Amino acid sequence: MAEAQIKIEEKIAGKKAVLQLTGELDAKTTPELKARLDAVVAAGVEALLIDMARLTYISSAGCGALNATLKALKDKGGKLILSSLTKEVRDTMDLMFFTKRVAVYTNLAEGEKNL
Amino acid sequence: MVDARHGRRRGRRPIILRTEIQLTISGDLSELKGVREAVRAFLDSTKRIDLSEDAAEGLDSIQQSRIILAIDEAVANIIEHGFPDSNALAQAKIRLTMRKTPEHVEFEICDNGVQFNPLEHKSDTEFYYEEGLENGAGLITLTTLDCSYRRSEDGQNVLTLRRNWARKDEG
Repeated sequence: MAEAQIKIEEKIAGKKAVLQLTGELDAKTTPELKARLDAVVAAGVEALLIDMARLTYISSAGCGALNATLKALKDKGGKLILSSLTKEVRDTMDLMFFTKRVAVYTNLAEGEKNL
Repeated sequence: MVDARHGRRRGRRPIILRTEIQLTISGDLSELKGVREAVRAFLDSTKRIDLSEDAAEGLDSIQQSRIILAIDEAVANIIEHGFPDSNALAQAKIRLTMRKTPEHVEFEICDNGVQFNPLEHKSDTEFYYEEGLENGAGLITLTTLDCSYRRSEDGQNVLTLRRNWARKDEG
């Protein structure tokens, strides 16, 4: 049985960054995302957009990594926003009340406009 | 390892009375994807059986997604927190039994980890968000199903998650 995979494409421009996720975020794959998020915040990014158009699954582990990053960015006056959530990923993030804490945009272009 | 037992047919319409599939899972997070795929395949197969006269025709994608999520969270929680050290984790035995009847679909998760009732732990989401915690939201997912917990006589945790076909989600 194949393991879950997560692919992270990253664009950093000064204090802004966009991460596009492809694959699944579960307890196995989330540490890879968390390490990348920590590196992005350490690089001085203050406004982060995460596009989830090709993310097919997220568990509480994935939400937890985003939550820790949200706190780190807010603590330095920054922000975390999301775009392109699939119906199922949106439902999971609604269940965990994450979507009450961050702005969610319908697509990448809208997200980038508001970053 | 999968073991399937199918019920008999009765009456004019073919009704499958009971179908049961069992998976054995090790204490490795790499197993989670396989667990999700097995649950999805099991739920998808409900579309190909005849249910009782008054049951819904099956579960929609969100209802399926919530079941898969709850099971993934429960199994991940056992692997991550159910065993005191790596030696104990290497001996982990987690068994997922999936059953469907004309009335409901049911998932029983048994494990030989430390005694833990996930239903006694309420998530404090305010604290979770204020502190930027990485853990603490997973067990919320169990609230979307009818769940029960017992400790078996042979020292196993037994968590049962059930969903009736006809139940309507709120909101």
